[in-house]
This record gives sequence, C-alpha cells and structure tokens, in this order.
Amino acid sequence: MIRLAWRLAFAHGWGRPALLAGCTAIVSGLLLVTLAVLRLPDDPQERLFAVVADPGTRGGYAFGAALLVIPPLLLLHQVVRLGTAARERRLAALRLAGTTPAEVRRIGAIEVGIPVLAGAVLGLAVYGVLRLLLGGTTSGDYRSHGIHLIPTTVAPAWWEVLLVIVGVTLLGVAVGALAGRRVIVTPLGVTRRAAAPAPRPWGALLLALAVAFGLGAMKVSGPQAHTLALAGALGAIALALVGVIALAPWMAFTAGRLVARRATTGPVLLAASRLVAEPRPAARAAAAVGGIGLVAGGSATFVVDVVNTNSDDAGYYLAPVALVLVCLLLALVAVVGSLAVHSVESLLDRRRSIASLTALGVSSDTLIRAQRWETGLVALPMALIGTILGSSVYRFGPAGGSSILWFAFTLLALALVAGLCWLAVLAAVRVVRPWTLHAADPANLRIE
Amino acid sequence: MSEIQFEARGVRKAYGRTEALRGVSLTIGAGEIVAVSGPSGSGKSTLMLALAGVIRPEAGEIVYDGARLDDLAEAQRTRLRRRQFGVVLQFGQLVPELTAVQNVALPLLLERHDRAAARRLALGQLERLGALDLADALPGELSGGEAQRVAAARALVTGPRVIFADEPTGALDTVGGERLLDTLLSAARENDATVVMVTHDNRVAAHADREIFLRDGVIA
Repeated sequence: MIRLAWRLAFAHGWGRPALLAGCTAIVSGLLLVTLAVLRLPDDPQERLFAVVADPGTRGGYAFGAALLVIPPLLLLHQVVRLGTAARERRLAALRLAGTTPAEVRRIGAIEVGIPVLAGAVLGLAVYGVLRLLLGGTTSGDYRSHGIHLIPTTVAPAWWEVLLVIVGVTLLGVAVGALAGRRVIVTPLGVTRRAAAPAPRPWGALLLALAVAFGLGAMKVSGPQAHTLALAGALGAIALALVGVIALAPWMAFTAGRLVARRATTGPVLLAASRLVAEPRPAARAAAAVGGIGLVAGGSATFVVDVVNTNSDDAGYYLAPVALVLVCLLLALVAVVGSLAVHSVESLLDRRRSIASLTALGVSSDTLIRAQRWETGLVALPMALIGTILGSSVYRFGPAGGSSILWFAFTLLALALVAGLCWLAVLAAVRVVRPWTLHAADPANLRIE
Repeated sequence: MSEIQFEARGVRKAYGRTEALRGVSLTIGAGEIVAVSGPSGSGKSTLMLALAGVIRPEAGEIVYDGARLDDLAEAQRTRLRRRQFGVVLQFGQLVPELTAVQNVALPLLLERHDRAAARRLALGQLERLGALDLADALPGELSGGEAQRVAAARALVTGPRVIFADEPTGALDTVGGERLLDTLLSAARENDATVVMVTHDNRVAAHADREIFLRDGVIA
C-alpha cells in the first residue's frame, strides 16, 4: 500500500509534494528555533539580539517565532487540496478495483504523509540554515555586524527534534484528512456530504475570550503576578489570532453577500457570488492577513506607547518592532502563496465553466478582474479589521497617552497593511495568470 | 440565398493527433437557420465553435460580414461574440454561483448596462422562455431542461445577430425540446438573426432551412 501511495503522491509531478514538503520544513524549522531559544540559560554565553538575550522578553520572542508557523500551516492546507479532482478520480478508480473505504483513507493519509515527513526532516536543514544566517556569535567582537536571533551555544535535545518531526508529520496528515472530510469516495465517483451551512461568526467568541484573558492578565496580583500576567497576555494574543482566523469564512461570506447585492459590473458580480457560494476556501487562503493586521495594529500602538513614555531606552523597545515588521512581510509572502494556490485549485476545478464564459464573450481581462475582486474582497476586510482590533485592544488595554497620536498611528498602520495586502492580492493574481488563461481556453469545453 | 454572412474556406482544426475538421468550406446566409449534424466525433461542435470565433482554426479562413474572423485578436473576437453572438452550449453551462436572472443579466452587465435595466431585460427574457419562476434559483437547483431554458434566455438577452446552439435540446425530453426550439427559433426570426445549431437529432435538424452533414471532419 505504501508503494501504491508513493506512486500516487508523485503521479502528477513533483509540484504538490515539493510544496507540501516546503511548508512543513518551514514549520518544523521555526519550531526548532523556538525550542532552541527556550533552552537558553538566563545569562547566555553568546552575543544575541537584546530581545532574545533578555530573559524577560525571551518568552515573548519564542512565542512570536512559534506563531510564525500559522501562515505556512494555512498554506499547507491549501496545497493539500491541489489536484483534488484528479486525485478523487484516482481514488474512485481504486474503489472500483476493490479497495475498501478504510484503505482509500489510509492511501490518502500516506500520500500526504510521505512528503510531509520529508519536509519535517528537512526542517532540520532549515533550522541549520537559519542558525548559520542569524545565529548568535561567541567571537567576543562586539562590533560584529548581523542580526543574531538564534542561539548557537544551545540546541534542541534529540528527543525534542524527534517530537517536532513526529508532531509536524501528524499535523500535516491531520490537515490532509481535514481537507477531505466532506468527500465520500465510491466506486462510481466522488460524492460530497451535505453542503456546509453558511458560516457563523464563532471567531468573535474567541476574540471576546481574548479580551477577557487580556484584561484578566492586567489585574492579577501576588507573588506570581508577572508570570501570570505574561501567560495571560500571550494567551490573549494566541486567542485573538485564532479568533481572527476563525472569523475569516464569515467575513468572506458577508462581504460577498453585501457586494453581490449591489454589484453593477460583471467582474464584481462573478467575484462576490463565488464568495457567497464558497466562502471557506478563499477565507482560509486569506485568513493569515487578519493575523498580520492584528500584529501590525498592536505594534503601531506599542510604538505610540513607547513614544509617550519618552523613556531613554526607547531604542531598546523599538528595535524589536522592526523585527516584527520583517516577520509580517515574510508572513505576507506565505499569504501570497496561499492565495495563489487557492486560485489555481479553484481555476482547475472550474475550468469548464470558465471556458463556457469565454465562449459567451467574457474576456480573459474580465476573468482576471473578477479574480482580483474575489481575492481583495476577502483579504482587505480581514486586514482592516485585524489592524483595528490589534490597535484598539492594546490601546484600551495596557497602553495610555495621547489619543491623537494613537489615532494617527492606527491610520498609518491601516494604510500600510491595506496597501501591502493589496500588493499581495495583485501579486497572487499575477502569479496565477497563466492558469487563468489556460482555464479560459475553449479546449476545456471538451473535458468532463 | 440572402447576403452571405459567414464563409468558411478550407478550415482545419486538430486536437493533438485527432483531426476534428479536415478542410471544411461552406457559406451561411444572413437570417438563415442552419443545422450542423453528423455522428459523434464528426467535428460538429468544433465547426460551430470555430464559426463563433471561440476557437481559431489552424488552417483556412473564416469570414464574417466580409471581414476575417480568424485574423482577429482574442480580445476582439471576445467582444464581437459578446455584442453580436448568442451562444447556447450543451447542458446550459450556467455560472453555478449566479442565480438564473443573474446569469441572464451577465452579458448585459459586461457591456456596462445599468444594473436595474439589465435585471429588467433579463426577467423579460426569462418570462419569454417560460422561466420567470426560476429567476432566483441557482443552477444547481434547476433540472436539465430548466437550465437549458435559462441558457437560451442568456443567449437571446443581448438581441444577437447570430445564435449558436450546441445540442440545445440534448438534455430535454421531446416536448420540452420542441418548446425550447420553437422559442429559440421564433426569437431568432423576430430579430432576423442567423442560427447555427449543432444536433444529431433529425427532428431538430428538420426545423432548419438547411442541413450541413459532417462526417470525419468533412462535409459529406
């Protein structure tokens, strides 16, 4: 069965397995970095970026590094779905040949598991490269250049490495199983379970919980106050991130419904109606944008807070903000990948319908404009709401000081995040342009 | 015969190693109703798609209203199709996410018609085809015949000069097929529109002014 799954995994080339392995390699690499940071002693024997070296801020840094796995995980979820139609046909043929449903599920799991396991092991190389590029220095030369973000005097224990590899592989397989949970493979083809109901704003509950956690963290007192406050704040951030991501399908559906009612042009109507019909895949692709907005908004208010306190060591606090911005840009690159992969899968799935639009006189420019609208309609509201939430929660929580300055910085963050998000949308649509033109090819009218 | 609207000269088209059209030449007059018939795989649909400018032949020429259609750039052919042609494909091929009325209004919105006016015209066309009660249904909720009526309404809504229909009654029972064909052809006659319909059904072909029979990619 493993041999069969291996053949199926690579049946349509190396693209999908390579992307799956790439995503998991990044995830396991980042987790290894997090573990290495957590192994640092209070007084590290190497030169490191202040936030990493300082035991007071190290926990937050490790937490941030761990959160960076979210965009590649969301990308992984998209990649798993690549080539779904062809794979479903293959699995149906296997059922016809006598494979049981359980065996089909097992084949599906192994098919995803092989590249994911390879990626999890490759994570060691990612960790090694990151350590080489961004590792701390023990040379004693304090004028040495470079950003030293990853400890080199300590490393994760062997059992931690093993745990990461096994954990990431299982996570990848679970993501694969999640992607196919609505599909029933029968010998006569693939049927889908009842369509999912319209999404609900359950993510808002998590956001409310995040606010409660954050406020609770501010009010703790006693001997363990600092630890509890830190744990509460980190918990609040994690809940807020998951909340924004969970809110994405409802936001995509709502944005689509509102716009579809008022659409006056073909591309807008096509885009909005697609979101209403299938909000979840597009929302998953753009979900990380909400998290990016959340962190960007929080960072903007943090800057205002630092400026307001007018402290001598403002530089110490502001330097990590630059690091956060770099991380957000990297996360945005993962979002471009997610959006592009989602669009490609959607185009391949609907190519007959798209070709029939071409036959009716819908130009490829119109199709590309519709795609831009569809992607933008999901990503931009997510980015804006994430930014406003991040900025407001921090402002009405721990931060104080001038409201005008806060308002100005929030606007700046909004403009910046919206601008970058739009660039991500344009980049994703540009990347998938060849697939769009291919989907519009009238030859697709002849496919089943 | 009336003024020549389409002229095909030595049109060839292949899909990989399979030659679908092997040097087809024909003329179609303005306002003429032509049935393209023949067995499966004879190149009927390919010929219709080539005449509609959806696909470009590898060799030969297609002239529409005195100008080379196959020489036009993709964008020009697309615009021409949107403004002057109405296309009905086998099984309707409606946009699954749009309601019936939105599907019918789509060609008008693409031509920047006012939204309310587009909806009004679309509803009118659906009424004409006896499908007004389906206006707010999604294609997934329609039967094959209903979807085909909506597709016909979409093809007619712009008042096209030429209607191309690929097996327009293929998904319908005999009575439903006759009704759809009557509506389609009477709308075409009202507008003096030319009709090119692909069919392998002799009863459908009997409605045409002329029948072109294809076999193995050539006119038999």
